[in-house]
Amino acid sequence: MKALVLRLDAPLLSFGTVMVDQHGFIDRFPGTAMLTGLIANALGWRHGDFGLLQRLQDRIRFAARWDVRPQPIVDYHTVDLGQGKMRHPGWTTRGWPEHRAGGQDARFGIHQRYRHYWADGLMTCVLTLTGADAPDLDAVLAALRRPARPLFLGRKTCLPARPLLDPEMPVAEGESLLEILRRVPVWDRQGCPVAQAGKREACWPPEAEAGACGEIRRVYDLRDWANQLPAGSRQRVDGLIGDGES
Amino acid sequence: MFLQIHYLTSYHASLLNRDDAGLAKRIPFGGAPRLRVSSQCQKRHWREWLLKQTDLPRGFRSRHFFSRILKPRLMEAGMDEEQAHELILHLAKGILTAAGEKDALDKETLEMKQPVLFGQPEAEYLLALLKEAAAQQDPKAFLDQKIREGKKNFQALLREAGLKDPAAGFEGALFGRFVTSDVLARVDAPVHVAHAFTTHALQTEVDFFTVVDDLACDEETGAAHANDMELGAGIFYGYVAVDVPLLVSNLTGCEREEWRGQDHSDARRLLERLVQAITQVTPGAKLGATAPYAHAECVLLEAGDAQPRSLANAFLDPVRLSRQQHPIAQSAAAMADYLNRLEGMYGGNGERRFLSSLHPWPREQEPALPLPQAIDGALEAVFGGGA
Repeated sequence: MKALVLRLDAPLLSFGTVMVDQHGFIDRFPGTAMLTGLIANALGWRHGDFGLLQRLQDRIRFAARWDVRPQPIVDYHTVDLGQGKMRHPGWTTRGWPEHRAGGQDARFGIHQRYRHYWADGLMTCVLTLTGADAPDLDAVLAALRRPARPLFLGRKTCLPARPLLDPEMPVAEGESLLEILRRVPVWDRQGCPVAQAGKREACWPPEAEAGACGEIRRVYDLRDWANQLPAGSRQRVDGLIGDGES
Repeated sequence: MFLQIHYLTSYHASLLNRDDAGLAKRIPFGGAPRLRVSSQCQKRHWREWLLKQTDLPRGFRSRHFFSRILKPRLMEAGMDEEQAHELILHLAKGILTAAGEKDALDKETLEMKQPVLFGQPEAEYLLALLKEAAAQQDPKAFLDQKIREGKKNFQALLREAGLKDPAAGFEGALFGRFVTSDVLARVDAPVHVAHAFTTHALQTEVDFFTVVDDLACDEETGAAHANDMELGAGIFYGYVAVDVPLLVSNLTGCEREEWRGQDHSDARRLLERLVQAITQVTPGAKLGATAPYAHAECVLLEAGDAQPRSLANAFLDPVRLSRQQHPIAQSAAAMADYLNRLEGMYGGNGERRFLSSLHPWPREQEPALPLPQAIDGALEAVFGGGA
């Protein structure tokens, strides 16, 4: 199989997971829906391209590794829903305007929000697409080099600090994503290969071969694109890979 | 096509952006804590400054939305010109009348008398309505019914597009609009703003202050109030990426792929003002106590098609301030060195670069220009000859 090798490097990264009230929590590893959006953005797709997005999400398989362990931070900010532009109902394509439900405070008050981020980390991600549909991996490769829109890693403020594709080996071949991930050099924070890399946190699909030491867990990182709702889950293996792997 | 803006600004002792504990916002980067100014804080202050500029575009070209955007696309879809003109006139008059604007449309040219900024979502919505009407037995009656049923919706649509308040339209075009659950009515922001942070390690002090009650009686002693406030000084690196095709699409209603064929004067003017805001507007709080006013002293503008990326990693090693070199010059040199290394690693991608700086820039490819010239050069690279 072939896979793209991505280096996710930014001062802040956020891999969104289930939101609870005002907390925008994050997962340790990217979500499938997030990667779907990233690729679709590069390809220039639109919000209304529901079918394309759903099909792309179904085809994405990836494995990821924290080359440099990140630190969690929480950003606090407030939003004033009473601003002039927010006070009135907004138009919709359904034909009737829509406004936030609730009382005076809910609709016009100042709301507090906590946004969680990973800071000061560097992640390597190997990604492939199943099936023979368009787009193929070459099209995605070209789009990531010259994307239709600026790319971001989770939230729109998480702007990448380097091009996403690995400069030496943007495409790699191997028997499985995990095998490819093991072979891709571990980078230090500056983006240089590390000679004696120890164990690294990683995730990979559960279809990987036996012998890989990890814990299977269920993650809720899919999206129903037509209805614009987070929905669905999949199994993912979280574990450690690298030298001295047991 | 993307415009990228990198800037270095130095602030003296101030509290630019606070968290919920009242402390200065931070971020760990390269193993060292840095002061941070959040993306939201910067955008808010730039937006407020922009809305006060009296020479923002007046939406001259957007008045021709119906004739330049809707009509050609209806004709592309197979409708003959006369019918397209008639239906658009009927719909446009109907929705403008529903919003309280009579005689707001020229019968011959379909030009609006008021500046209203319709973007791509509005174009798609109105086109779908017009196509559905054309398939009816009595298209005008169908449109009348839709306008009657959706009167409030059309009023909301026109308000958000800036009817009676052109600045609201431009604000949405620059910073996006996402006020309902309808993803098809959403306007994406073409301006992406990263959190700004200091190029060196964090250093702050806690300033203890008291409030003396001048009306206190002679028998009373001491302060009426005591508290503290964290102050920090720093050289901040900030980064903005602009999606130019999306900005033009938001301003004209065209498909984003057709952005080159549009009139760019509005977009050009807006971007010029945006760079001015980025380089000159403070995100500061505590204005009365700290007067946190500063301008950027090093600005690098990039125009190109390759994936935008920030130069934040130039400061992974925190700049260690030295007596031999100006602190901002050290940060500028780190940025230039990193750009060299990045090009060595990934290769050049055809970016055009324009520099305006008070400090030495150790790259010959970008001579220092006055900021207005750097802005003009970058915008010419963006909107000028095809790449």
